[in-house]
Amino acid sequence: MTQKNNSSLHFEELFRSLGTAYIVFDVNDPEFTIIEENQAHAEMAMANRKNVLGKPVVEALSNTPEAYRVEILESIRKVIATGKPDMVPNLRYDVRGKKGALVTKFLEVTHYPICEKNVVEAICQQTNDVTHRYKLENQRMQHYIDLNKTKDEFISLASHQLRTPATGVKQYLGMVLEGMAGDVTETQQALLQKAYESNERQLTIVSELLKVAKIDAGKVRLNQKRVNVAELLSDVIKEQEHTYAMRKQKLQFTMLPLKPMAFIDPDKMRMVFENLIDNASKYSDPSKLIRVTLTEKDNTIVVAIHDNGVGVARGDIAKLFEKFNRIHNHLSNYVGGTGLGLYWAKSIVDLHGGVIKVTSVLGKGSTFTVYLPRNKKISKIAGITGGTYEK
Amino acid sequence: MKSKPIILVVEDDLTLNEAYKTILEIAHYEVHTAYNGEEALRVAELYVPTIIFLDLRMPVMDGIGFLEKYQPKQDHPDVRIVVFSNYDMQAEVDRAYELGAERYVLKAMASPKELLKIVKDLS
Repeated sequence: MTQKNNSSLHFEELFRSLGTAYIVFDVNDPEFTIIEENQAHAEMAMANRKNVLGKPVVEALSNTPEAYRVEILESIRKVIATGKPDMVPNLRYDVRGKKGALVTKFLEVTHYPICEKNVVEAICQQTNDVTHRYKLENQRMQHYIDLNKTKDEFISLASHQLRTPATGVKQYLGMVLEGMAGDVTETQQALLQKAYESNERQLTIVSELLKVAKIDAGKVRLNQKRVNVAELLSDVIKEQEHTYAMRKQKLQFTMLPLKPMAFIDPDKMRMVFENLIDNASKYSDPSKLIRVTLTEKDNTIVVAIHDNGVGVARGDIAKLFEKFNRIHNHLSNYVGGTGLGLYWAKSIVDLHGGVIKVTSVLGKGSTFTVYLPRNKKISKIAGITGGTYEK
Repeated sequence: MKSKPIILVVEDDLTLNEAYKTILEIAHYEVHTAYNGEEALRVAELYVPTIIFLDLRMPVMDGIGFLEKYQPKQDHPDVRIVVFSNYDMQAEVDRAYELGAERYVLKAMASPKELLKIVKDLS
């Protein structure tokens, strides 16, 4: 026996006895007929210890479901095209166990190209039974889902409970402030008013927490209809005029000549626009200009709010829409928000199948853009990348 | 001619119960209180209120339970029921309306002035 034959035999023996299941098939054969199979694979092929040599690769395991075949073939095509290995993780495979009961297994299948002069001539298919790992991952995932649900329920319960004593304070301070317990001096009035306002602030925070808890629990239903967005925006702007005037800020609304109809929930989108326009004002110094524009792109309505305010650093943009995240700037202390408004706004826009985007320059200003579907049929905005921020 | 209203406040929280009673008494209304639905049924039987402020979430018997059992007296059928709560559960509110409530107030949003305005509106 030559040296070559010896090592050939060694490799053959190695292949046959490896613990992981392997088969090899010829890529030039249209059926991808299996030409080699190791012991581990023969054992894994279960039920009947059928020898799969000579069978097409999709029949490597008995009773292969259609989905399995499709994924396997797709993977093989990729390997032939790229010359690189490809893996199909978590392939579901139902098989009859020893006692006849149906057992679900999960397989990780990897295809390795066997090349001759940079051309893929054959493929070695490796199959690992990852059922145990898959189940563990699922358990872990479920654990996190349950924990998250518990946390949300806790926030909801605590928030509701917090309302009661704060409501009590509202009644008693209210009574004194309204003169129901006798005359109140100016100083007393001023002090008590501060206390009343602080308590109102607390009640507002609780309401915001509950609003967000509701949306997180998936309990918010949109009441979508054809709405004139131009009218909605004008309305919101009109409401905020007073606040803007107080801060000596100018609010300008421009729109392209277009049919301003969109398929939205007017009450909720009103709140979203109120939030964005209010933010633009709060986070701008006095005398600044805020512009609201209404345009369209393809089949979507585009509302943009441009401010010349504090702006947001590039690295912080992604955090804007996170819960409880308040980015620090020279106005944030004074504004005193909860860090929930944008999270809620984004959730609502997402529910509509829309997108909300931000561009900003620290110290110069920001633009928040909301894309909304014009009509019912389009449930997701196509053509506009889903990210919330542009780099 | 409408006579002065007799108000029943049904609220399980001691502080709030007392606060509402105080507000209404300062405004010279006749007020009776109860801390849960069961007690409210007894008090309503005795004092025949014309306006009821009914909290929804209470121990022993809640607001809905009270509404299901409450029968206004034959000669005083015109009782106005205002349901109040700090929970805004649409299902509860809908059920309360079905059972005869005519208004819903979120307690956290109602100041003493607003409460008095509601009584005035319903008298």
